[in-house]
Amino acid sequence: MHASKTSYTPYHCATCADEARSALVVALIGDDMARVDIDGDLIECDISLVDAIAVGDSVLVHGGVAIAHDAGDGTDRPACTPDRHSAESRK
Amino acid sequence: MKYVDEYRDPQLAQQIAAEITEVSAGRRLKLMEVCGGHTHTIYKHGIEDLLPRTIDLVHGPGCPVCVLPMGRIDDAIAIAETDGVIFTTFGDMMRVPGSRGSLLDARARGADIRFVYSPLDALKLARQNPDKQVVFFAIGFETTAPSTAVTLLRAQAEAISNFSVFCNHVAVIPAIKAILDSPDLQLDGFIGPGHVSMVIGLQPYEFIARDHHKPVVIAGFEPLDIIQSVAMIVRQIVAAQPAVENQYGRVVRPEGNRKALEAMARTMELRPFFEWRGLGFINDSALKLRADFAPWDAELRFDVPGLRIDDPKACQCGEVLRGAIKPWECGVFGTACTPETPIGTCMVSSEGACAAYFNYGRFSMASERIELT
Repeated sequence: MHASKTSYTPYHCATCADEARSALVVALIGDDMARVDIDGDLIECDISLVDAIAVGDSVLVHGGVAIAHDAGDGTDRPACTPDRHSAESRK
Repeated sequence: MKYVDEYRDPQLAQQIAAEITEVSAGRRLKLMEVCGGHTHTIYKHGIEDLLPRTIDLVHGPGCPVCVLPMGRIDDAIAIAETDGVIFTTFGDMMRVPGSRGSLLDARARGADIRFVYSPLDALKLARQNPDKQVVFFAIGFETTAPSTAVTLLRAQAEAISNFSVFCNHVAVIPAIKAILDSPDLQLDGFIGPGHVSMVIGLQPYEFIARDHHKPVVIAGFEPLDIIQSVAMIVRQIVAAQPAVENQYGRVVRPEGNRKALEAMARTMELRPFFEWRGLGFINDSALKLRADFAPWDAELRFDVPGLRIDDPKACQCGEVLRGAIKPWECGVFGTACTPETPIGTCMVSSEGACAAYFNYGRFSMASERIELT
């Protein structure tokens, strides 16, 4: 049920780095589980800790469990876009 | 790559770095990145080389593999070598040396030790092997603890009796408190752990700004995330207005993940004390299973030595983890201790400061900074 395959680079161990990986939800498969795409690898992960997950959402997955939505869609992007950064710099 | 390329723009990185140079105006600042993932990003992308030499990035205790003391490795091996046990663990833990070798060595001696990506994989093994006892070696900060909690709740709901957890989860805030109380390290600010914070939120860090007058900026893991966080910290210092700020707004919510916190609270509670490599025993700094989950607690189910083991004398992981020395200042760095033949934990995990520096940082100007201190 839970795939072991990962696509992490040799020098990056996400399991122990306390760093989650961004994943795209491709299917909801019941029992609070979803199939997600992490850099081309499909794994099944638990989605019981994140509200309102839908196919097409981006989530952050750590240890086979989704723990947050990844809202990297620009709506609340941090100030490292040039305009906003420049605006902050002038404060 | 979606959501990644925009955080690796070299021109923007140079622009922010120039602003840091201008705003910091030659101040000598020592900033700690708490998270091992940040350490990895800093070395991989040469971020220290972009910053003014007067700003020193100190690598903190945020690699959970690195802070686990040798005695717990020995306990894990004792469980793994018990007849009828399938012992499951995250990849990096396989190579961490205990006093009797590593889990890899134990596997070579015949123990059934398997790598898993998720504790849910271990639970699946338990379902598939009802005649075996399947044990999961749980380590990590608050990013990882929710996956253990979810697995325990599923084990309880399904009444899976041949599964248990050897719990070594630790909490980041007590470690930061220990560092703040350390007399040999004077820090000017913290780059806060992004993914721990998406679980615990921002409130737990407020004491750092309020009581210790140090800035905290919760940061993402891309190069621009780190550089911008340094800029935000420097601006706080120059303005003399320490606060907790969230650079990683695309992921971290101020309140954290309440469902994850609730799952952790249902399954785990604080240990009275726990030993951290480099930091010693810290009160209320680690998690154990609640009494309700005693049937799934490997420490109650199996005999473990429970001994405290001193680190090898040549290894200076402790000083590295406290930020007291840089990796290359350790006497065995890059000679007796390499990623292929690690002596200390900081050289085992890719997020360990020594391994990250060995893999990426040997040619950076970072070593020149020591001349300025």
